Amino acid sequence: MMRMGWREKYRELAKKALSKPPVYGEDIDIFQFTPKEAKSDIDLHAISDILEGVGISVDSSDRAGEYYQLESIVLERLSKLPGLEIMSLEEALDTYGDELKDYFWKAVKVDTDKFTAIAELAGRGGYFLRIKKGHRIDLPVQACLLMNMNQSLQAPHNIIVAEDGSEVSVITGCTVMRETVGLHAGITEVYVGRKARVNYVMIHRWSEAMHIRPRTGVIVQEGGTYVSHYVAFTKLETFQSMPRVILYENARAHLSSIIALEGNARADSGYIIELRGKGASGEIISRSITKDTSEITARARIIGAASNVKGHIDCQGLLLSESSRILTIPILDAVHDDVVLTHEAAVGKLAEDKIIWLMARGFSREEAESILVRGFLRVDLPELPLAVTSMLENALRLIAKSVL
Amino acid sequence: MRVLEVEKLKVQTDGRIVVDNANLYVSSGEIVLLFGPNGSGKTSLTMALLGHPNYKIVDGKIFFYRHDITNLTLEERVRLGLTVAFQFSPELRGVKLYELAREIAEKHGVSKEAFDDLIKTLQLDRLLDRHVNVGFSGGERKRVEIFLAALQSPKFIIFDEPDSGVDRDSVALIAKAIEKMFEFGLKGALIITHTGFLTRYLRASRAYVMINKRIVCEGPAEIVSDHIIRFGFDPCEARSSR
Repeated sequence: MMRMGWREKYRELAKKALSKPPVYGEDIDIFQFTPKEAKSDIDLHAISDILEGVGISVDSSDRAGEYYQLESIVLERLSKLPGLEIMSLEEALDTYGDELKDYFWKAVKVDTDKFTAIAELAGRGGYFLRIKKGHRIDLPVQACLLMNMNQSLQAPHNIIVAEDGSEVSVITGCTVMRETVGLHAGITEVYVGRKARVNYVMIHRWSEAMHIRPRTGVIVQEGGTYVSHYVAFTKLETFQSMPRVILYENARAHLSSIIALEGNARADSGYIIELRGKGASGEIISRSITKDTSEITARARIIGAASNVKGHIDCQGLLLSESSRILTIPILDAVHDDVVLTHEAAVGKLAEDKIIWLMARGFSREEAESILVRGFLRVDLPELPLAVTSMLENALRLIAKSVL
Repeated sequence: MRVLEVEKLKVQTDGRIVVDNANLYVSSGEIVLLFGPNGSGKTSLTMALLGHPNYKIVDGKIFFYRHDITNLTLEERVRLGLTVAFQFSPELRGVKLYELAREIAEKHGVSKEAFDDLIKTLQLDRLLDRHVNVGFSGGERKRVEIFLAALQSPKFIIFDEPDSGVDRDSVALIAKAIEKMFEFGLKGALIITHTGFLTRYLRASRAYVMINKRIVCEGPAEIVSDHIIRFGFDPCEARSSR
């Protein structure tokens, strides 16, 4: 049907990068994991509790569309609206062929490291989401990536194309159905057109022997907006992610991540914003909570490379145990003189004077701690659809309740 | 009936004695003032009465409605109806004033009418949607502190310098709110003050003066405060060294 020689080029580049270690976080042996063919006849209603834990509503009445993938098998994809296309990556390649070239490995480089390489060479599935020009999708679209087999590699390649003037909210929930050993290395490329808006919410919940390596790149054209919230309250073995968001003229980004780790989990997490067009502005907010012997490195980097751009970093860390660790590394990088880049950061345990004061107001110590944790987790959720806001608030309430 | 009675109290914090041989009482229906220069031990006495874990009572006793509460924890004392409005209240980022206030009100069965009435009295409308004390002025912080303490419907409260660093208008509002607390079941109050500013709006019955860890004078509020305004703490100090 089509030649797609460009696809071969990416495969060649990927082969050369298969042993390339990641820039950040821990290196691991990727060859112990292989893609698995899971049974595709699972009953989603039977695991609705697990799915709701990562923001996925099995009764999808308040969703504009959905995508389900278990291991390497696509279970379901459905769009309920004319302006919204949802298909698996393989279907998108079949349908669009060479037309997909401009959206394939353009926001994330295929040879970034061994994880992008293995995703290109061995990954299956992933969703292709296209919001047609000028269409505003009010209800969120949900995508669910499930794992349930040992030594499994799940490396879907997701592509979101929000054409000029369109608007969409995407909830991606990734989790395991049972305790498993595995590698989840999802690639996500987001292309936000002129004056388009994408709200992207990702919720993760894993088990303690999981390695997580999402690779995400976002390109926002003139006047576009990208809002991203990452929420994880989880055990895992290692996590590393550093989405890069490129903003052109007057584009805006609001990126937040809330990570609460338990057990011996180790995470290295952050965002990079490149303010490439004049008048662009971006904000990176992180809230890290560590329990037990977990460790979080919270990174943030904003590069001001055009006139009249603004960037702000707000990194806060809360240690809930004596033997956990939080390291914050905010970087402001001005390569143009007409930029305003700022940051604030604070790391510590719950303040005893605040607990005593709340106890004097009639709360027990446990209640006082819970109020403070809830406050710590409160981040601005700018102009999101109600269904997304309430889902996020529920997720944060659950963390505040369970983390202590 | 004595609501609170303190006998020969000796308090230690950070390995130092900060209150020594303090005696005082507050009877039902009374507002009592506690004067004293900076560093004399007033706040330490307050924290010890609240049951702050860092303030150790090494000698003496505290009675609340004749019950010995010397060995009760902070939580147990607050549950009995004793509380403190702090001199410096903390900023709670991410905690909205309205939500915290509702939580306290519901815990203590405060009616919606009484809740709204306090907001009106203390002119807090525009602060309700903000995070507790974040970016608040001195006067706003004091009003919020008294608002939240009032929602606990305590039987006894110690106000630690409610009139310090506060504009005149806020002092009048605070005085009004304290009167309201007596309507809601407050039986007695000890007000720590530098200036006695608040007494222009509130009728206190007696006053104590604390100097250098000890309570050194006691007398009718008007006479003691008049004395301090005219002569400073000197005459009291003369007595304390005797």
